[in-house]
Amino acid sequence: MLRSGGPLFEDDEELSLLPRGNLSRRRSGGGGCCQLCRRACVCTVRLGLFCAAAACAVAVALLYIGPRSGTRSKVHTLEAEVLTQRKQLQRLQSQLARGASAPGPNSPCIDRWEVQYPAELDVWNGHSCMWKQMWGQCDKFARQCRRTCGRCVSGSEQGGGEEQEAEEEGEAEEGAAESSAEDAHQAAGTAAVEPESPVPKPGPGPGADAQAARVGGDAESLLQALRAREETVRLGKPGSVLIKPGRAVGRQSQTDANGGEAAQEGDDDDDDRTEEIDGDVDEDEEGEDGEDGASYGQALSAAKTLESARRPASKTSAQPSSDRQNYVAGDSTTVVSAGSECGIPTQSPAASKGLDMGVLATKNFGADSRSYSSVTYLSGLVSMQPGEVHHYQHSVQLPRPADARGIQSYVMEILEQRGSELRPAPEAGIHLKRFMLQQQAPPGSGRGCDTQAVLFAGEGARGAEVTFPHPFVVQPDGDTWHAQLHVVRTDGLTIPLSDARQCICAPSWLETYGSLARIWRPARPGFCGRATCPSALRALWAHRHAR
Amino acid sequence: MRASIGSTRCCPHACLYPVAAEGPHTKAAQYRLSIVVTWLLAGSEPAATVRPMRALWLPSGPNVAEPQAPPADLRRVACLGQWSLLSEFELPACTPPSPCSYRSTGARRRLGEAALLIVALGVANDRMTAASLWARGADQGSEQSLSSKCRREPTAHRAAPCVFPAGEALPQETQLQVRAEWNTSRAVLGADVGFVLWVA
Repeated sequence: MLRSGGPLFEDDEELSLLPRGNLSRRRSGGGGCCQLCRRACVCTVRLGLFCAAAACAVAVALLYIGPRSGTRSKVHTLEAEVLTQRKQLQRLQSQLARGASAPGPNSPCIDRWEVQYPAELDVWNGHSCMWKQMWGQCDKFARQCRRTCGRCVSGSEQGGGEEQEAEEEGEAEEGAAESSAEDAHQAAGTAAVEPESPVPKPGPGPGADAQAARVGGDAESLLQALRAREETVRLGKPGSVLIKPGRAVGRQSQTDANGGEAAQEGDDDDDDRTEEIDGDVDEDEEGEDGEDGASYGQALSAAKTLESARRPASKTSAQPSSDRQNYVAGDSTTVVSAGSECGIPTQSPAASKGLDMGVLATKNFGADSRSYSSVTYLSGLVSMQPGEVHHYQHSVQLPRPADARGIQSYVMEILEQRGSELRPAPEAGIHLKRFMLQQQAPPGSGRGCDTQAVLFAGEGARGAEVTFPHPFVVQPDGDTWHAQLHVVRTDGLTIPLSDARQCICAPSWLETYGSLARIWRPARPGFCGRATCPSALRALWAHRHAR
Repeated sequence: MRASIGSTRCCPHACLYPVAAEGPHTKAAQYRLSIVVTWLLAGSEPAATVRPMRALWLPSGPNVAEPQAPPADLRRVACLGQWSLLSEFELPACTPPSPCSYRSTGARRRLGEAALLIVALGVANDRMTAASLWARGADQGSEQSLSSKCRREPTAHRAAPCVFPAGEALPQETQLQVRAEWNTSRAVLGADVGFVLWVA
């Protein structure tokens, strides 16, 4: 290292930025000169190196700063904010529809926090009933999270009236971001939703014809609703994303007529069991792709900026591990730093909604003097950028057919939708780490583990049908499941595919890749890969990767 | 396996891997999750004949997960047969001339009550070469490979379920264990392999 010449190079990593010729010259420089000449030579070489390094740094800085500066950046920031608000509005409407759909005399059964803080539905350090329920804090937040915590039971519970509400308001105010609350009320005012169950059950009767007819009709209405919503989103009219009578937003994205084709492909072995829903989607979604891709980087940075502004200055990235431990332990007051690509949750919540399932097709059939119903459930669209890791964890509804005794088999598959085509996603393009559906007995319910229902597909189990021999079944208790999906989009990477299939955000990986990810991040969507990086960065990447 | 996100050892939700600036895969892609479930309907036979199952998680490898599990996880642990869910582990890359293969063995899990093993589904890893499920009787006698009985031992790229149509009787105090073999020419990070068992 060149310690005597000043703190130009701190370690071997930065030395690797230098051309090899320079290094060799430095090591052998001045060998044939007198002491004075040697000093002069060394100084000259150091000065030259310094200049070269400074020039590189300026060049890299210009590359870093250039694309982000100016009006374009502001426009993208605004775009990102509009997009965020649009998504929040859609989520609010979906939640309201779901909440208002609860039957019984106490309807609507809703989470107060959903209405008050729609922007924080799945924000783990905000007013999120999902997280409270997940962390086992329903007893404490039962009044704010009645629906999520399953407390919409008795009529007397609601009799508390205004006194209770006032108390809730007081609690809800604590720690709340005022802007979020304002947004929530505004959004709530625009959400004219008619009560309807977002995920209706399949046909009531055991008759195959009756059930198929009903599902077919639902699919058609869902398809229309899906098209309407996509058109609305494409036109950029967030205020007009209102739920039409008979169609809930939560359901609109859950099914697609083309899914029938894919579902049938993914179920080749059972082609006599699954029926296909006719219909085509006319509209290509490529436009949305482009829109998402263009605003992706700016959306991230804008969200980070907002997130940073809301966080206390005392909590920074100085203690990422302890913050993360606290976060894992369910401490909703923990604040973690923005801008950490790996190892620490960033602006996105650790789990998000997005796996709302809908019934795509149902086929009743008989075998061995027994009756079966094969139901194809399809999720809403999940958009993933190259290199992204998604981890969903929340409740989903899998409506059971009438008279269902239990699950005899299941098969899980990830489908890729390209325009109007829906096909099993290539193995190399997306990697399934884990998918699990689990039903948990609520505390104090008296149910033991014996009745617990679990459906699972881990690495290597995509598309593998799991069949339970008769008379053994998985017997769910209700339609609500706890879902967990962990997937990695693995095409277009500049790291080895097999590396991305590991959980490589361990500390060792952070040390190797983490800082580089931060260096490269600002260039997205023109993300600096190996082919386009400045040579100095490529050398740094190669050095660290080889280490 | 963790019931909650947030493992400090595993890639979290917001992780982003370096990607190429140019090429065919630079745009967002749209995916959907599909689940085809076949339900047994109430038919001609009485409901009493249906036998519901419960699930167990049997991991392989050293249990070196985070020492402090969040309360929610602990509850879920209790509801998966009281066996630990925190089973992620790592293996370092081999350093020549040491062999680049490794065999991991999970802890022996004792069945508190007799059970009938119906299905064992392997959970694989990209760097795992094979995994097997073993059972040893309460008398500490000979062991038998359960997974070989159905000839469906999971590998990295295929984890077909191992089905026992008549059920494999597992007496009380039976000890179950998962053994896996690894290619450690590169480091194994955040691995979480084993078998999900459905028993009645």
